[in-house]
Amino acid sequence: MPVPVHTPRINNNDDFVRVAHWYVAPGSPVRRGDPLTDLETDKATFTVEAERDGYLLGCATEIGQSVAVGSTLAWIGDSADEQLPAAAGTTPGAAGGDRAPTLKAALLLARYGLTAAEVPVAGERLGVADIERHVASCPAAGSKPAPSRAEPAQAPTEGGREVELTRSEHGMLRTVLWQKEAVPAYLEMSYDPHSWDEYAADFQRQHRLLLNPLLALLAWRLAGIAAGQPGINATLTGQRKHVYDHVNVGFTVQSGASLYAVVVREAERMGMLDFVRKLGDLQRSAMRGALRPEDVSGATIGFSSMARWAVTRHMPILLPQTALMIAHAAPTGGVASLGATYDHRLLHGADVVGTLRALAVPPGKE
Amino acid sequence: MDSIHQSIHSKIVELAKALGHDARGLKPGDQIPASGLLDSPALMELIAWCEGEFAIEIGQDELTLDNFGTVDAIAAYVARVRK
Repeated sequence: MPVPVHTPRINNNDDFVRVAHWYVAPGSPVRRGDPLTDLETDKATFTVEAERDGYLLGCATEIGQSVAVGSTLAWIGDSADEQLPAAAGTTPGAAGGDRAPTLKAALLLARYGLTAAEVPVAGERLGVADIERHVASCPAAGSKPAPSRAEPAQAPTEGGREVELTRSEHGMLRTVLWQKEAVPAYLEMSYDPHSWDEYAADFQRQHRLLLNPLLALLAWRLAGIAAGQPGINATLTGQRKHVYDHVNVGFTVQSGASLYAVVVREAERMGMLDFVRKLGDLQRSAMRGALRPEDVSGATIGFSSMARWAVTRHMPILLPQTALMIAHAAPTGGVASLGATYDHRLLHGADVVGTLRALAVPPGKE
Repeated sequence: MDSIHQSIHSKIVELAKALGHDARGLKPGDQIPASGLLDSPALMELIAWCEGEFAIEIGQDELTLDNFGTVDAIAAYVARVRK
């Protein structure tokens, strides 16, 4: 008998979530633990996994469609042609009748600087056509959208084969695509890394740690700065700034050929040692291939280092729905640089310089 | 060296090579962190590898120099935990 796949609650305040991606086509076999679909809210993305082996059935939800928390997203049956329970239907609980925009419409709203409430809806959901009609009838509504920087996908001219992206590659794609929504800018400043090196060495000795905690301590410091400077722990939604309640630090981890951004949640509430240990646990999970979806989603600010490869400058991309990503690099000639990629729609250079100045100095050494 | 020593040493050589270092001369009693052959992420990778290779679980409290500072220490820790 088919088993329903229910829509999970991702955030306490969101009763609907959007379907961002389907990994599996209807009728395809799935194994327990396989990713089925990515669901997203304005705050987080969550990957729903198969809870049993079988075949995916009845996933009628389109990409960008909103579905109600608790509704049936799809079914997993014992065969590809198994009948679904009569009462179930095949259409998950779409947010019919509400004004939730489709994903494309939400992007267009942001580009025009409009909110969903301003646009009359012809059908059940706010779509691209509604927005274009509204803008055409009211030229003052929104500014002319900037031409998309996305190039249409070019069909390869040479022979080859199509290969499904891995989960890690999907994550990277989602992150890279976010740069088309943000307006990334970059700046850096030099600083003397010795005080941080000494601070980390003292901390390592004091707590008898095997591993150098320098990067973890810098990331922890960033969380503290963000808690006191909430503008850097935010993202843009339409013409509003969404200031996050907590600081969830996304920290890049290279594991083999895969790059992850593991997320330490509510980092501003953690002491230094707890943060170092939590980040260490996540790094080890990444290296074991044992990360859970919640371990790599929900970042509100980012930290990346390429110092281990002796890289002295790098410009990281922003994590989705974040406005700041710190770039830590290797020192050269006794001087190091701290950089930051930031969403220039929300932050300006002085904001970021203030953050970097604070970050360049260990706690108690200000 | 026994097989545990050898496999740990081989893994360290592999991890160090990825960082551009040659760890073939690392002796069983040499301090790994102080050698500069492996940085913290590589040490973390070594620990994660030990968990899988020797089917053991390593708690955060056990990540100490006493347990993981040298090849000898790691081999002794693995033997102790597997008992």
